[in-house]
Amino acid sequence: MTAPLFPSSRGFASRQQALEHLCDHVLTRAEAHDWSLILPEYDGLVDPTADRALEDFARRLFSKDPFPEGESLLDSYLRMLRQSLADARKLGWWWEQRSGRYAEWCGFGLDGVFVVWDAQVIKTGFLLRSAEPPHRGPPPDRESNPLPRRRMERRMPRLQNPSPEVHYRIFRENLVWAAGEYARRYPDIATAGSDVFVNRPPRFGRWQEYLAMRNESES
Amino acid sequence: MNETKAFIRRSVLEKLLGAYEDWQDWKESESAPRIAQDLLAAWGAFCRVYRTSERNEVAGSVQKLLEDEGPALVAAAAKGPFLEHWIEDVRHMDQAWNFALDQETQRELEMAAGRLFEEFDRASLLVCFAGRPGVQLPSEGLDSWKKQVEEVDEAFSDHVEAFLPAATLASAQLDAFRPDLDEEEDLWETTLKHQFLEEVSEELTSEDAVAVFSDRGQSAVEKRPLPTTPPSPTSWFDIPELAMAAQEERGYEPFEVRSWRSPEGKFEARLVVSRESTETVRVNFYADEDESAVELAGLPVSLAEVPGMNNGAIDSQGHADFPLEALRQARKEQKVLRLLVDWVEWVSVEE
Repeated sequence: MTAPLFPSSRGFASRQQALEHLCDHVLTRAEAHDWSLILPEYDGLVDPTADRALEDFARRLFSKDPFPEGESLLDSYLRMLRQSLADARKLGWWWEQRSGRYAEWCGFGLDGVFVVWDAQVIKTGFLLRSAEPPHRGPPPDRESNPLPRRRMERRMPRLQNPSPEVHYRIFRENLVWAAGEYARRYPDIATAGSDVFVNRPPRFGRWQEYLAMRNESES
Repeated sequence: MNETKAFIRRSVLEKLLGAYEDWQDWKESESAPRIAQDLLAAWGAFCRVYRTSERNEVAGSVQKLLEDEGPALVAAAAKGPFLEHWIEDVRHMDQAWNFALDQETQRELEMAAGRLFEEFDRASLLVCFAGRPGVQLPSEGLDSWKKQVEEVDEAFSDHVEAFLPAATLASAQLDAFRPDLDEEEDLWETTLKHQFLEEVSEELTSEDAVAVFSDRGQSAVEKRPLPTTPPSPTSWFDIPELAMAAQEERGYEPFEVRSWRSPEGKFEARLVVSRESTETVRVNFYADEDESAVELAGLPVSLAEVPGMNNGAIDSQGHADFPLEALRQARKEQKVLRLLVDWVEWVSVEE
């Protein structure tokens, strides 16, 4: 079995695409709440519970003026996607889908992020448990409508304080949804790195061991 | 046993054992209601696949837990959210399919279909087990759950084409269910949604199997029928004739030809024609007591898929004008005369 490739570009196909994913996932409530719990820089940059602040932040991403806070959040998001991709490769938490000679990989990291990539680019990365579905209209002009997925009428869950337990719940619930996606794709899956999407999820202690191993290998 | 069936059996068992471990580890936490729901639903899914005689052997610990802690589990489950936003999410997903042109949007909608189908199944399994002797939910709570599942079932039937990405798995699950499942009627009833989805999928794929499924997404979008009311000859009107009637019979007074109500019933829209209706027709939006609904200004609006003239949005006075020629063309193309505001269909009001 061959491990999936790293995407050669290390990022999305274009800056515009990266910004749109950042808006559609990291800055759209309620997914924004979960991202703020796993991206350490998030809270210092924007309040994930403030609709107006999120919208202003998102709009500034598409303006031509320098916006260092926006760049920081984008860097943080991309780092998390690459980390999740590296976790997936290392732990075998991935599967491969093929269409003719084209291959793409779906993977899952220790922070609960689901990532899709191919040999060239990262295609998407998000948190399955809280992601809003795509916009139900034509592609919006992002300068005037930077958060098209947002649904104001939805009741927002309370934001919890970051703790290892909350972090684990994010990981676990997202893994269960990823396993659901694996089952739905099962007949089309060419190869899988392990049985993680079939077996019961790692328990809290095991997950902490994985995190410790990751931290050790980074230091 | 074929490979997919073996996979389903193993997945169902592992999911149950995972939920059991999760309950053991976290039953005192804030997440307990959700975990209790997961465990009860996972037990239901397991019982659809494994015979009574097999259950104790492969999941005896769970069976014992349910015997010992069944009422506590159901009580915890009753405190959790139940099908929150499901119907709204399905409507949203169905509408979003009409604009899903890129691969990533299609992927996310396919995933949403799988997830919403699973949530519906989970809820129906919960109702099934919460109604069984020994673990019974208080009747008030159970009735409320049953009612919600019925409403969701109706919405599922109305939007079933949006669930086609979940059809392959639903069919595989049907194959894996035990053959004597009908002996447990309440459990068997939870599989009706799988059967319905399989039937609809087969019907659609038999027309042009390759085109619909060879490239899930774009071709599926193209092949999907329009999600709502089929065209009816009476749903349209002949604007020039009515405009003439307005002039001759009503002394040039504007003449209302159609009206709609917003889904929550707060707003009304009326399409009027008058002697000025030679190049455009106007839809007026009203809030209470015939006040113009200026709060709707800026929302995207379309009539028979023709966008409004104010950059496709309701104007600041609560009006939307539509080009007559484009509407005539839409009628010729047998488009349905439906009004969409912010991509949500409003309800036609019969006079």
